[in-house]
Amino acid sequence: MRRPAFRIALLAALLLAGGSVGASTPEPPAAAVELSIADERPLRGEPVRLTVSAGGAPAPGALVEAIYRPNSSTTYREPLPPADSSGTVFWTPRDAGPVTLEVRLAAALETPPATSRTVAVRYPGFPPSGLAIMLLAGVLLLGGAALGFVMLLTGPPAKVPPDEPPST
Amino acid sequence: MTDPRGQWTSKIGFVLAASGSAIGLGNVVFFGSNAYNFGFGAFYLPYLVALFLVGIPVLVSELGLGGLTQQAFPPSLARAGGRWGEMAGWWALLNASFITMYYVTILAWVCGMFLGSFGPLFAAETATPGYAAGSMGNPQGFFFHMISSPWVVGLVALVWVLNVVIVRRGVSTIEPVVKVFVPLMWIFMIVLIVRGLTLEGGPQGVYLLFTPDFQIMGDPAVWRGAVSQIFFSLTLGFGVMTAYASYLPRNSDQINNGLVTACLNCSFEYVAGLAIFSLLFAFAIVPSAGTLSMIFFVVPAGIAAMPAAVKLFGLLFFLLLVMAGLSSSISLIEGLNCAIIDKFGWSRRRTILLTGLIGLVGSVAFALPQVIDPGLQATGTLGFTLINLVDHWAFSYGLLIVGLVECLMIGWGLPIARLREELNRHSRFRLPPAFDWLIKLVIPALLAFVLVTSVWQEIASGAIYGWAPQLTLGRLLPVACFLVWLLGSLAVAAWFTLRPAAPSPATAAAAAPLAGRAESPGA
Repeated sequence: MRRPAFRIALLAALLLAGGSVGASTPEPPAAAVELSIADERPLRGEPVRLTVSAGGAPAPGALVEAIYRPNSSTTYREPLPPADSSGTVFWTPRDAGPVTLEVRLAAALETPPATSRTVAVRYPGFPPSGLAIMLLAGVLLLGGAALGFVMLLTGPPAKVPPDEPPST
Repeated sequence: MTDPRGQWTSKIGFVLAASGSAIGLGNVVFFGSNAYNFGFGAFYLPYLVALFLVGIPVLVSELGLGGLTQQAFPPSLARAGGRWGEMAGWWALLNASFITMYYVTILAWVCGMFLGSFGPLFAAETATPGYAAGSMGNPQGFFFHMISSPWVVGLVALVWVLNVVIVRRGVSTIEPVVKVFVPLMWIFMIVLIVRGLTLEGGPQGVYLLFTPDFQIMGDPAVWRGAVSQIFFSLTLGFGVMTAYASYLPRNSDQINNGLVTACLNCSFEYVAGLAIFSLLFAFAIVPSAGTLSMIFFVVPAGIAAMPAAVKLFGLLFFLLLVMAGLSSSISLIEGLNCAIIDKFGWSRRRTILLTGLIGLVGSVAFALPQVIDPGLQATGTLGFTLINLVDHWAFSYGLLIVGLVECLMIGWGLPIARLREELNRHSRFRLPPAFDWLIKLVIPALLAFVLVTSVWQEIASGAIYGWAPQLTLGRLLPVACFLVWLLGSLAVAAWFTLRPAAPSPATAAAAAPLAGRAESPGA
């Protein structure tokens, strides 16, 4: 008879545990440097305008670096030319996928970035090789599973051999 | 008379259990992470090659071994390699035990996210792209906060209790559980695909996953990642598939079982990939936390962008992830239990209590907030030093070493031609003679190449992983992890091997010749 009460107590404890980890954490300080992107979803191979500002004013000479596939083992960096007098830099994405743009105001790239933004670079069109592999994988995997299931359900029933005890 | 080892009551039950074992956190967490880490489309093609060239042949061999010997992994390998074979089998299970320990810890974190779904996890600002780690209203901030809370230790204990309860009665409990879990996981993942593909930019993520990049594919690390993913995803080298197949009648169609299990598992990864990468692209999310970020940050961001019923979807998603994780963790635990019961003739209750308690201690060690890098909130990266160290050896190297050794033993010691003939006798598919050379030569050569190039790359990078002097937790911990993993597991494996086996139906079966044993009529 104590089991339902125990279950309720356990559930309540777990819910409390879930709530207890929901305490607030401090918000990061607002960045003084801003990077605006003319197109939030740029196309691969198409130039896009980036504008760097510091405290609301253009930041000439700011250095922007594009990091393709950040935090992966295939990541690579592409330094862009310094921003012009209006804080503008033009960037032509070389690859599709997530790219992090890091901005540094100092001339040296070793300094920590003043701000960063992540954008998803799009393919200019539907890549045929991607479509082919997607279809091939779908046919092989889903088709293989379906075929196997059909064989499994239509095959002769597997029975316990005579030298084995019956199933439990 | 009842069978103390138990048997599957239906072929569907077995296939769902085997695919339930294969379908787990690895399909969602590790697949997404590896695909991102190794260049999206540059990873997927090697992954497909690894599946058909390595994964399915090894899976069929493991299933065939279990089906024919009706025994767990160590005594099955002993049939091929004698004492050394048995020791390799025990070492495989102990290596898998290390993985099981931190797998349960990750599962406990999933439980934490599930509980958090009742609270602040899916707050209104969650869906903001490019969110910062410090903000509590998003999954990233919530996750970092949760793992540094002492409550997570209680969640680890809870997950172990659930595992023990399910495994306690063996296949009779596992079978009905997976019959519910596995179909539900499929349904939910399909819902998530619809969500991802209907978001702006979502289809671009799909292009990204499948469009090959041949320049990146030239890197051996990509191939190592693909083969490791296949091994982990199909639960190869864990001894699980052999244990599960040992609960089937000897005349079961193991070739078809292997095909269905592998295709179901990788179909699920295919579906999960569609969902995850469409969300990743739609929200321009960078998986800053490596392995775990896909599941803890990317998918929750997609759920938070649902037009309605966000909390319900969030709850359902993490609940199903808990189920997927459980169906895999019970199989990992069952692999070792099955072997201990077979060898020592212990009762299931005693075996589970022992493995459960040791596993709990290990999982708690991985979950203790003190061993989590205190700087992780500041950097936005997961510095799970202990998990990273053990994962590096047990996952990246251990599974491939087991695969290499088992292929050599089955290929040359059994020998493979005999196993193939037995498999063909009970299957409507026929394995060609080339299968023998695949197991004997091609797969071992490929695995050896991957292992050697991996070690070479580590040396070339300046330091074998774990010995880098900049590690913050001191230099002793990496060395200790490596020694415990390698020497500890080898010592225990040797001890298990040298202990006399208790007389039991299983050990009696081990004495019988492999082929020519009685079979079911009409098979």
